[in-house]
Amino acid sequence: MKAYEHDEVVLEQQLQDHYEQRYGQPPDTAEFWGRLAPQLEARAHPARKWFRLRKALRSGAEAGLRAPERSRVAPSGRLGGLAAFFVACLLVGSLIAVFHLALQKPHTTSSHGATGNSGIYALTSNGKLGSHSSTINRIDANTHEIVWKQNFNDLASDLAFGEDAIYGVNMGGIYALNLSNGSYRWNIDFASGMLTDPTVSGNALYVMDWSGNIYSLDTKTGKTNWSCNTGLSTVLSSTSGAQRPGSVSVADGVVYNTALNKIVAVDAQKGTVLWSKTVDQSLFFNSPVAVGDSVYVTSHTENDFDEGPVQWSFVYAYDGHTGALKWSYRVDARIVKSEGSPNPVAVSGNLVVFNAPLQNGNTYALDARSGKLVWQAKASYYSNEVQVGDGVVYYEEDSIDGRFTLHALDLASGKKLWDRIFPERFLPGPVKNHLIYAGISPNKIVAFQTSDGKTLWQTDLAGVTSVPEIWYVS
Amino acid sequence: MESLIRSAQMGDTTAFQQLVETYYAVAWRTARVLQHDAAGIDDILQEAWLDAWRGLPGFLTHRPFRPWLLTLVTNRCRMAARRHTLQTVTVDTLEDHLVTDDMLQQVLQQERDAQLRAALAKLSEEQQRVLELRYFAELELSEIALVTGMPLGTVKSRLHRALQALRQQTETLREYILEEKR
Repeated sequence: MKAYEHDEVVLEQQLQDHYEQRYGQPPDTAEFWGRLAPQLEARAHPARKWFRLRKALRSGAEAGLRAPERSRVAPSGRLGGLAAFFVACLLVGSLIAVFHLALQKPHTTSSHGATGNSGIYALTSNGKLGSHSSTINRIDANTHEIVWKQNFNDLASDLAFGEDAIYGVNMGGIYALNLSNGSYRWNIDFASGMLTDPTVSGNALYVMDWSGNIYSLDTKTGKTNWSCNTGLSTVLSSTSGAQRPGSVSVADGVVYNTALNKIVAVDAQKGTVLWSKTVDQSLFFNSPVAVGDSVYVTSHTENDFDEGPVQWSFVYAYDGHTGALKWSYRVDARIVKSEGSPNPVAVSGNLVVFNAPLQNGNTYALDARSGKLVWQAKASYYSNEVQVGDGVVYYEEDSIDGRFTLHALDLASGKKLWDRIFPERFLPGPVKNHLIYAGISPNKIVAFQTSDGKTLWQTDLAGVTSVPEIWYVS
Repeated sequence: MESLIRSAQMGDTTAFQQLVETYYAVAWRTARVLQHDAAGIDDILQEAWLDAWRGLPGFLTHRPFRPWLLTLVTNRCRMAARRHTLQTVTVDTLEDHLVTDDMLQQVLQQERDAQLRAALAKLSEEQQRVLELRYFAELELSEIALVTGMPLGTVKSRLHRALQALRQQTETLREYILEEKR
């Protein structure tokens, strides 16, 4: 008889036992409820509050509930206001206010002046996994040195880049930082709570709250251009809730977003709904991708299981101005947007490219005009979402042997161009000027040539202990 | 469940209490893994459940409640994380573990547990976190992706790789003991 049965079930049971010993059991629910209940009683009836909020959003009359409501941090050039704030804090002598200021005004360092705003921007997290303190580093594209860095607290979104500012969302608010030196430009509270990742188009910044209200903000000041109640509810716009609300997409004067099985188009200037479409209730949209006068979006079957037996997805192309369906394409696999990853389709030229991370993991390319399959490439079960740039489709695969592989395919044919294998964790980033930028553990930024995958240059971010997430601003 | 949520949406605290009782354990386990600071878990969960109370009116009742709640818990953990450092977990001593009548079995059990802890310690933090969320919080892979922010493919590979490493480590121990017995 064997001393140990090292099959999966035994190992899983061992792990469960181990963690039970380590973390213990949940405390008594009754005691927890005993502490929670009085707090519920002390708060406004949620339904009443909700209806009040909706009414306020419709009428715009109830300023206290309308978001965004005020600017907290003085923008660049408003030093008088900032000084006044400091003076007020001193006069009041409130330790709480000073502490609050310390939290909201992170430290900025600038090693030397920057010319223009083009360059590489790397987001790194501070401390251990789970920490939500992050730092944005601006890297000179030529010298690869850090130009400035700025801390974010509670950053809860991807970053969005405008002409001269970076935008990020935290719990209940939006930050804007000046690209030139990383200083805070404005900081807006949002009464309506959690927001999607921000999107910038022209002089407007767009976010959607979890109640389906899309907001257009002036990128310079953070002031609201308009808000639109789209009727979308993003609370669970995902399969098993595995995705957070996706960011809006903007093109050709139209703002799009999805929730559940509904897609909505909003006039970017007026903030009025242009059209909305729904698909079968068994299908759920991923985030839209707007290009020119079309919007592309995928849907997938909802399933509470990670790998259900029957799953399929569709890719749709809608006319952006009328909402007319141009074409749809069915895939017998599940296209799912993973948390923290790009949209599940990438559109380049006349091709719509995506993969199906659940089930077969294959990569597909469709003709953007007709929706016909152009090519299909076999990929791995462990593949992550595709990105496209410079005529190359690429995606990262975390193989189970501990390696990280960057796969590159020819955009036109789907044929394999090259693979690069890395022993360290790898985060692919943007493609610019025939280079793929990526973050590699523990603190490297690497630039690969799109033609052959060879490393052109790499640099370490001193003092950083997390894999950088990269953006490139032209 | 749908009727419970609907009642809670209208402000029925009894219905909300039933939701708390149903989902408290998974919320606690998830927070326990993400936060690691046991002292702060209760506050985090209080805030998360208050978020749920406030957000319920906008919740669509035909949608699953659990992932939504996990999102709220995760967000609260993230907000709290900056105020805390991760707890250093002391590796338990062998004496803390199972005692059986059979001394050989006892020794083997202790060795196996010790080896598991040692093998776990060799995994990356991310791999450990995925294992904890899978086998302690008992989350689905897609839910792990939700609370960690990792792509789904990465979650899958982390889990496979971690289990593979653990099997190799424990197999090495088994061979060693069998060799010693000979």
